Amino acid sequence: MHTRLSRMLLFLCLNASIASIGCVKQIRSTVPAFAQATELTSTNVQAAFQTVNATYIEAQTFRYAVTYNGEVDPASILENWLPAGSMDVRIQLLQGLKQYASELNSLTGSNDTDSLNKASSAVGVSLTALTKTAEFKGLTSKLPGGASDQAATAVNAVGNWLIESKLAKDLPALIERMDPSVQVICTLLSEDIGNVNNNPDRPLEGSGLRHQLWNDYNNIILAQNQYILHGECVKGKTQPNCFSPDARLAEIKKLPALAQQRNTADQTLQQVQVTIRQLAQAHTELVKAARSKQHLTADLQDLVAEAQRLNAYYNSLASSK
Amino acid sequence: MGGQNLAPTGQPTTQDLSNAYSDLLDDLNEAYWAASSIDVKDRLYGMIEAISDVISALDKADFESRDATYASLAAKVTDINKQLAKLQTQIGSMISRINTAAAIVSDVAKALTLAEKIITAV
Repeated sequence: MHTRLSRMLLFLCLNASIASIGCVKQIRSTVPAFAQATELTSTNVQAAFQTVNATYIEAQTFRYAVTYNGEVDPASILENWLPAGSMDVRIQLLQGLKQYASELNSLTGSNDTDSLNKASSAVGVSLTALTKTAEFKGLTSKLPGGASDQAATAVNAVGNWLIESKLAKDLPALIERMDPSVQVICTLLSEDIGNVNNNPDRPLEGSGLRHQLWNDYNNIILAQNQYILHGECVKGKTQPNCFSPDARLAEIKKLPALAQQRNTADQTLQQVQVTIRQLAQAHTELVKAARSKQHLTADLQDLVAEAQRLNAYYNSLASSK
Repeated sequence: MGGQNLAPTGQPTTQDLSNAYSDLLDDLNEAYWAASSIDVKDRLYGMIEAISDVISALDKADFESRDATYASLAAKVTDINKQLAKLQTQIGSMISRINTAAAIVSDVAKALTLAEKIITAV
């Protein structure tokens, strides 16, 4: 009886160990895809901010040209919509996320991780310092109740996680510990993207990057229309510089093209927002897989593919300028 | 981070003010495209650009630390509100669509009321 019980216990222990190893294996096979998705999504968020800043300057320049009277210093229209300080906070947060994913990835592999550890410590130190800056407090000041404290705690936690030394065998626990922080940071980034066109009766209401980008494009469209109207030839009036019929047609054709560009740019921002949410979901799935030995339900390959598509879009914008 | 800025319960937020200006912008856009005279379009265009500036500053304030941006924001709001009060009395003679003119008058009243509450409260 004693022997039978011992055998049974041994069998149960072995089963538990095999299941546990299987679970770690499951996580390890998924982490590289998660790291790739994080890298791409972070790059896309940064590109989204840069696109909004660039479109803002384009709108300002167009307006400057249309209303030109020689009395405004052109330097005054070259200021970015989002100043460097506010942009830097976001870049550091994104860098923190990327570094976290790289670390996870290295823990699943057998590469020499010395240089990565050094880089992670540097990012970790800058993240913990970040939470004390006015810009970070500005970023979180709009969150309700105690959520701004939560955000500071989350970013500090990621910073400290990056600084401390880690062992690959603790991977599930390491991922689980970081989940609340990853969720808070993803929420912050998603809120930054904002919204527009949510209410069909009041389409211009909104917030964040989408709101700003939509309004900038509308300003460019109106400036283009003003340019056309003021360049029209008036019958019976001598106007040496008015549009020829072909030039007029070409300028008018730009109007629907601009409206199309606006829609595409907004849809891209929406998709970036979706991938941020999916990334947060994928991280939670990693935690679930670590806890309950389930297979991941989030399709990371789809997320990676979508992030790659958005990345290609932003790269094409950058190379066309 | 729209709509979540901190304000005591019942107090309007900067997001409410941004929405009020956005609604006005929407109606002014409609009026702009419906207007047939270049003079009227020019005037509406000037107004639209000025309101866009205020919305842009409100969106930006949402991203930044409040104290740093409110000084310039308050100046922009005060300036545009003076122009809006004038527009409110003139819009009827500028555009022929009675519904749009009435909507603009109502939007302006709402924006002015909210701006007064929010900008003086900061």
